[in-house]
Amino acid sequence: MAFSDDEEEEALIHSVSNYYFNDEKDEAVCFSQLPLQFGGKECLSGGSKKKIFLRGIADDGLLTICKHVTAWKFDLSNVGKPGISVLSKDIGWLKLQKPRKSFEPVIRSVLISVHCLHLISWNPDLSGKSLWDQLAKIFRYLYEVKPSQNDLVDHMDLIAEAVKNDDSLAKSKHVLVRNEFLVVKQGSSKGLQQFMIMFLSFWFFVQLKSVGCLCFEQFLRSFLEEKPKKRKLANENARATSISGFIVDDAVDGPELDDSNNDDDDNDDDEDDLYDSVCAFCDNGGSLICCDGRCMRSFHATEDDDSARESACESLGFTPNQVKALETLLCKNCEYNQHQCFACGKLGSSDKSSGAEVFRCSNATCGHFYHPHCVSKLLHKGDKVAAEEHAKRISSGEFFTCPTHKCCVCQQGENKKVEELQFALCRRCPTSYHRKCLPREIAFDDIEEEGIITRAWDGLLVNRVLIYCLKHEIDEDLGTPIRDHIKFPFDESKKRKASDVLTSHERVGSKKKTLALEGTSQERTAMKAAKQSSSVVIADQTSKKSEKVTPRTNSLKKVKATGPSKKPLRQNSKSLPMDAGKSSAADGNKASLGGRLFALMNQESEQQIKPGRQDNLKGGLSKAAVVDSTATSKSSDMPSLDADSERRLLNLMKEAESSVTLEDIITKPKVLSTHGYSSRSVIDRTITLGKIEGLVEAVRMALAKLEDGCSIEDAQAVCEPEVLNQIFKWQNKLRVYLAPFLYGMRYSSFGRHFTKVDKLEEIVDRLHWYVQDGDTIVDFCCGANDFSLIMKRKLEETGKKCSFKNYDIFQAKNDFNFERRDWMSVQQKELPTGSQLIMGLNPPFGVKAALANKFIDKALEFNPKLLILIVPPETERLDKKKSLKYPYELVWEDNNLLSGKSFYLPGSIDANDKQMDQWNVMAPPLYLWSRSDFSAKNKSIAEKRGHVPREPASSNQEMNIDETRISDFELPLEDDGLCDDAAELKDHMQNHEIEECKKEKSVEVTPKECSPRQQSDEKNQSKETSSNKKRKHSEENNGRKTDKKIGGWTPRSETHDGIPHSSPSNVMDSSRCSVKGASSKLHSEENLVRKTDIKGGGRTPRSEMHSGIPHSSPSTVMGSSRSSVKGASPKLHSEEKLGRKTDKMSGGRTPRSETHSGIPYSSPSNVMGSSRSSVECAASKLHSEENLGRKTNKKSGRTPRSETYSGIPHSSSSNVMGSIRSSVECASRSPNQLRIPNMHSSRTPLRTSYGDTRTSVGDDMGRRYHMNYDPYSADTHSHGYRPYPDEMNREFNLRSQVHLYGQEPGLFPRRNDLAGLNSLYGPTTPSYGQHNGATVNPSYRMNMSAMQRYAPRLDELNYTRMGGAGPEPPLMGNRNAFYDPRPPFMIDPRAPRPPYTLGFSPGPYHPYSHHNSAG
Amino acid sequence: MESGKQNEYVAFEEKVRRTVYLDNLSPNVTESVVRTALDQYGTVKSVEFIPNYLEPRNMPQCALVEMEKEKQAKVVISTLSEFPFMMSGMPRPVRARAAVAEMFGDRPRKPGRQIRICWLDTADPDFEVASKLKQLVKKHATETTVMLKHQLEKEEKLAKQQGETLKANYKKYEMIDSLMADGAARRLARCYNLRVSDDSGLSTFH
Repeated sequence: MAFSDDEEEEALIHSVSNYYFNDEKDEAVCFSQLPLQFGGKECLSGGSKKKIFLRGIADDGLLTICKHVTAWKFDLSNVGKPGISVLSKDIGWLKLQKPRKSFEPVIRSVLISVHCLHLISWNPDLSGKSLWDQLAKIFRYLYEVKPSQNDLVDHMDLIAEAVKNDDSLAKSKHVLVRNEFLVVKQGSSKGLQQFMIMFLSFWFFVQLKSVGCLCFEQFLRSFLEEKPKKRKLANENARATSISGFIVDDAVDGPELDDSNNDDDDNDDDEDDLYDSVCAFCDNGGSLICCDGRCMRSFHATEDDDSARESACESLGFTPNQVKALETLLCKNCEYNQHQCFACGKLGSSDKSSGAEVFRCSNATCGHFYHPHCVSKLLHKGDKVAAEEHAKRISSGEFFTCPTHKCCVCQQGENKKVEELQFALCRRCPTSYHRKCLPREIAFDDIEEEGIITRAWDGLLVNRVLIYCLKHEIDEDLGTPIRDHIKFPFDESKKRKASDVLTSHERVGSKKKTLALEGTSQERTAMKAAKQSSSVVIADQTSKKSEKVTPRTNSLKKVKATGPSKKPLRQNSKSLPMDAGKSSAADGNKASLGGRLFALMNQESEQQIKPGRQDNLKGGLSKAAVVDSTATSKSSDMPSLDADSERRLLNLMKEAESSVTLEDIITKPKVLSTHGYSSRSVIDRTITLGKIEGLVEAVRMALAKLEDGCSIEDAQAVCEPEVLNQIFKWQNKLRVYLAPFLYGMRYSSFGRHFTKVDKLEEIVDRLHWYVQDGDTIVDFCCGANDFSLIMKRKLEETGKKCSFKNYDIFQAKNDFNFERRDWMSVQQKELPTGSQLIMGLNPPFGVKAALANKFIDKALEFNPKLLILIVPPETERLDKKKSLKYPYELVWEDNNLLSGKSFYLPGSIDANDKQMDQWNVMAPPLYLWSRSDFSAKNKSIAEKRGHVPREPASSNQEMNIDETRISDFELPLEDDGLCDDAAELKDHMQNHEIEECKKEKSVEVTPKECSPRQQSDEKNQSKETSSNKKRKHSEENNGRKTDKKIGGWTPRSETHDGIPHSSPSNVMDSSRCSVKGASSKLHSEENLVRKTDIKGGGRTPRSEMHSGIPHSSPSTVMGSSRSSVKGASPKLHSEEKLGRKTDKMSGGRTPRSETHSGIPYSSPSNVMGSSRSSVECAASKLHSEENLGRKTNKKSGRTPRSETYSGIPHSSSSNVMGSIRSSVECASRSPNQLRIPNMHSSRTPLRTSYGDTRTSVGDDMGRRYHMNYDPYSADTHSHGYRPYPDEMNREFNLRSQVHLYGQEPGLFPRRNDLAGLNSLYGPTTPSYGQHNGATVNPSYRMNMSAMQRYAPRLDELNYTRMGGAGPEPPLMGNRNAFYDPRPPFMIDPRAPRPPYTLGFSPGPYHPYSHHNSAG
Repeated sequence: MESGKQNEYVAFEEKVRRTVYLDNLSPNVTESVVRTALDQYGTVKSVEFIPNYLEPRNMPQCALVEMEKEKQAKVVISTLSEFPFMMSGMPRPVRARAAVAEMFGDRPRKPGRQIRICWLDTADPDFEVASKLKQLVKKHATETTVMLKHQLEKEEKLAKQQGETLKANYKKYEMIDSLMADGAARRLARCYNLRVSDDSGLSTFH
């Protein structure tokens, strides 16, 4: 090496650290822009003639400098690393030390180039792969992205120059050849880059030609040769070959891989926070491996690790390969259940089953063991008696927390959230301090004058300080106390003396110092990242793996590259001793792999060995070879495989195997970046059994403590809240990870789930009002692509023309306006402006709605005027989003629509070959968001159409969730109770199944019916037919229902029947219809009234029933709407009613069956139907007071809805609150009666004017309406968490007033009639009330017990249950048996072996299943 | 007659193009499974499993799936090779590629192609070729057997190892689950005033 430092100038300043360069404009520039000097003469001038200044801290940090520099040079003669210096005008050469952090990216490529040269000059024989490996190692902490050829490309000139000037480099030409070859290869694989690189190479070549290097000529030639050959290979369509051809590229440029790992690290940051993130030996971070056992310690697994070397850690002494092979680590202590007492350091048995001597502290994250007497002595200082007693208790198994968890100064606990109260933990003994209590002698920095040496380090432990307390003498070399603190059982041979291991440990201390000094967040995150042992280890693994591959591929490449000339081949093969054999085998001018194989075959046959075995794995490739070989292979007797050929086969297999690497598979589907591929490593390495044991124990103990009356603080000393949080997180992680086994067959394909068509229709029903002519409707994750079709149909019906766009990454079967694309890649200009855009629907959810958020964010870039979303509740709400160009407002949300089986799993079938449904426990809400400038309009539409639900106060929500769930199932239970047959329970479940089938049927019916009916609103002519239909329908229903009744479980079946019919759409429909009926001609006031009506009628019940939450189970809603039907029956005799009601049969329901017989409007859709039809009647026949008529009609229309309320007492009785409420209802009933006359008078006109049954229906309904409506509101009122009942009452009154005023005087006579009816009502009331009171209470109680009895059953519908049932380990066998009819001893590698997934699929498919959904 | 055959063959070729060859299918996969699984991407016209006469029964199956349109077949192939596609919950991605005529056992004779069969005399120069070919076929059979044996061994090993991992992880899960099942964790969370999201949305399929 020709350049060396000028000695005399070094006297002044010789190094600059924390440096950076800038030009006159203060922009950071790279020093490579300076002229490069070799041996004192300027060789290479930088690109620009800018003035460049060096800034930084000179020498020992005392001097900040800013120097004008004119040249730079590098020195490859140092052993450790290359030196880079810049020439300053006035003080000569300045050596560059550590750059400023922010400056690092600027000089990245030049640094890498120089290091590369350095490595080559010192190891001329270094193979390309290991060169990159080493570079990657050097720059691991510096740059996130691994060094690659791309970094060299920019500095070809530099390299060329260096080669020209440096003998040792010249010697290692072939390495450069290889490097450049790699460059070229990569380029050629990347297409575009190729030209540039070719150019560079050519330039390079020209440069070097002047040096007269034949090698490069050859290189270029080989490069030129290379291309056609590769194409040929590709033509052979042998995937394996093409992979192996590119494997080096894949292995080397793995930044994506790194990135994905980093992502995971971010996600998992919180994982490690609670546990020791430093090595138990050396107390340094880095890539650690966590013991799976109860000690919960982490170790450096191998001495080779950088951080281990840095702290001179003795490590566990594994080789990197061993680390890789390690599934889980169980330290010797945990393996033999021999743990050290943290107080006295002696080993003792910790095996509780056979007389433990040491016991673990119960703190969830502690992991220290103690002798009972040791710890009790510490816990009760000075009180021997108490100590002894406590020791006894501990020996007998009592939980304890060790002294570590109290500050030894103030005896208070830790609070990680308050910095002052964070702990400083001694690593050697159970001593801890609060930060604030830390004695001065335990300092973060050396204070020489006082003889204080660093004993505390920030940033190594999360939210904690790592200290060595004053009891321990710090070893000057190590910077830590002597590391003899860990004793493994049966480990006498190995003397654990760290100082022996130390070689160059001055750095250790200083390293820690810098850490402590710079304890900036940046530093800390860097440490943290490094500490993510799992991922680092994984990364190592993969790189190791690819390393393995490389030699072979190299050889292949060599063969190819050197085909044209034999000479260089030999030259090169020298550098590849490992490959010598293979290359020589290829030494027959055989260029391609196929040729090589052919050669192999040739050799064999020549040597009279029995015909070699060829590998079929390689498909076409080997086929070709085989075909070739047929020509030469000598025939022999029946071939039996000899050892040789078997070995050859095995070799081929190995090759094929190694040509497919994990990262190939991981990187291949580059779809959505949020896939957590590392879940395996996290699960295996971070969530250890020991930790979980500790957690579980701690949680139990904390709870026990609390129950014993200890303070929360005491409990938290055992189990911090964070720990508790952790356990939930871990459970989720494990659940996600184990999902394929927990959910078994349900897991299929890509785990997407689509919204069911009927749900989509409901959504469309609602959404189409907001759509305007010319809008574009974008479904960003369309799945089966049903939505747009349904939408289109609907919009065409209503005469709107819209365009559609549907995106998904998977082809949809239905390709209507479909584009197979990632939504994230859609550009803004591809879609119309936001004011014409309606976007959304069912994005993949992702873990914690991550993907959903991503999709929404992307959608917001387009500023759509409307967003319709099916997203999980935890998705970030649009009105919470900041920095949006347009704010968004919620038009409505429906938490209910998508409950139950609203989704299906496409491509998955159940045991009966039916498309699998998906039962969601937490229904994702359906939101409609509007851009704020459109929201006024949209909201008015929403109100007009009755889409705005009554949102309960959010404070209620929490409580209600539970109730909703319960109520889902309680309703039926109650019915069972009423059927007063305990044996019903079984039937109940069976019926449930039947009902489900039926439900599906009826679902089909409903939508069909819907549209005609709606049309009938406008077209009276169609009325007849539609009502006919309805009649039929109802009759059918009727028949069915009575049948059931005979069976004795009527109520139950009804409930279920009801589900589909009454699901939100119906309720909605009904309200909508009534609105329709009245809408156009009404004044705004009336509208108002109506709206409130609707709210009161259609919506409230739903939310009410669930005590304030709209997550009402469909069944309840249904129940209510059903019962409303009942109300419609005009022919019921009062006695009958009475009798029925007093009957224990569900009062609300019985009349309904009557309805069926008597009245056509009985089916669930009747709610709607009846209201609608009455509207129709009124519409056609009403005289001049049309408005009035409408009003009243509307009322009667609403009546059924309000009847809904009559259902409510019943159904709500099934609520937990039921009993309370019902009593309130009873109480509140009497006052309501007062109001009844009013209402009736308002109703009268109807009757008068028509006098037909229908009107009387209305009347009847009206009566009921009052009866029920009021109690209801009163009821809610009394509950006090409904803000509006008051209002409702007021409105109600108001309304009745309005009606009164609007009445024609001539109607009065009718009132008598009404009064008569009322008298009917009179007796009814008490019985009704009584019924409520009487049945509710028992049934409520019954529910409770039944609930318990049912609990597991109920769960069966829920996936959780699957979890319980699915995966018990023994069950794995079962699973096999279940899936696999073959005899068990024949282990089938392909059979659904649960374990297999662990290899890779949880990655790929768990995420999907959670993330992917589409509708 | 000839043109009829011609037409038949053209139709067959058409069918071939519409057909996807699925490989690496679990032995438990049934026609309806395949049908449903691929129905996401297009209409499946027919599913035909290629019977395996030679190897042990527990080897992966392969099947020819005829789609309605050629385009759909292409979609299936590209999707399945882009994303690991599991069928029947089996944790092993199914492979798909375009079918070729030779995969069809019942393919019609190519028009114009004639096969002549005759006995060869040992002196015939073709005799040697023929016997070599015969040899080769036998050899391949042996090789395949050996390969399969190794493959099975490997997979068994892998299965065992993964089974252990699964068991270990399941144990962890169970431990945590026990804590959840008896409500201890939640009770404690309530004591701590810790808001625990119900499932964090994770446990559901959402």
